[in-house]
Amino acid sequence: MMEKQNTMALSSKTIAIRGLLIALAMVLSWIEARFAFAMMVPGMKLGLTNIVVLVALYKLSEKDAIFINVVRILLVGITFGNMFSFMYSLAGGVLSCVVMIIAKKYVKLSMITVSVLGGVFHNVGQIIVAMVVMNTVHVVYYLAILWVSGIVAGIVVGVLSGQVVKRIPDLTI
Amino acid sequence: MNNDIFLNKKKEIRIWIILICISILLMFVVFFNKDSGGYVQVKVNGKVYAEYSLNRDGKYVIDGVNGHNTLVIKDGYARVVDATCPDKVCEHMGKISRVGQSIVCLPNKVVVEIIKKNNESGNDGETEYDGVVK
Repeated sequence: MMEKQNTMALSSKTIAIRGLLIALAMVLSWIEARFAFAMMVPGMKLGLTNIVVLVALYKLSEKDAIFINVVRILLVGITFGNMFSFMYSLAGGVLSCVVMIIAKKYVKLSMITVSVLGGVFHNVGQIIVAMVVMNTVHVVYYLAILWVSGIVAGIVVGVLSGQVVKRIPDLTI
Repeated sequence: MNNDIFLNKKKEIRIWIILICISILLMFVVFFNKDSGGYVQVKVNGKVYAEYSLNRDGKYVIDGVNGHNTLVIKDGYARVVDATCPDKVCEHMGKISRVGQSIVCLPNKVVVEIIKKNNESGNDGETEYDGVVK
């Protein structure tokens, strides 16, 4: 019944919730971009947007999480970014999203571990794109620091998302 | 509301150990490459643009794809002090001196990298050979 409804047409509630989460993710992206200068290494960030993706992953579905993330990256790329930043966030976003879905659905890990894996693989995705775009292997040296920062950011985001998920009501229709 | 942290203790711990091991490994890779290379190689769009010695202080303007970056070499360190790109990320990347370290300017497609090179100048054949082997 539920499945059928989903395939036929989006209910207004689904549209509203997705829109709300995308808007929230965009605002968090913007806030993060404002504070990017404070980081020592480019690409190092907290990944606040991942809170929204995690909430979508736990409260809605895997499909919603990936949808919200991709739309957010597209919109942020159009509004504040350029071609390069778009490519980087798309690679990082999609890879981290896929890894988080696998970690949650198939390996059945806890939220903090899922978030940490997401954070780490977001950076891995970006390094891979950097290697292809810049045609150099040496960006890999950044991975050392970005790996650790991904773990730290993942813990923070995981704890925050855990609290959010515990506090908000059920979002499914 | 069950205890979320211990969802699957064994798997969790294994994944955490792997994550931490890889980070320690990466750290080792970076820190064992500590030797100062002596040469700064500038690549634009993947092609070698110029090479400068780290021992000679100087200021160089690099013409990138969409603008230029100013590279300063001083006291054995290289850094980018001025860039025409909007985000100025490369300026904030600080100074580099160890082999493998690099400064990357994405909008201009400029990579500044510290490389190791044999000191004998004029021994072009050998450096070229090294390049092929690598």
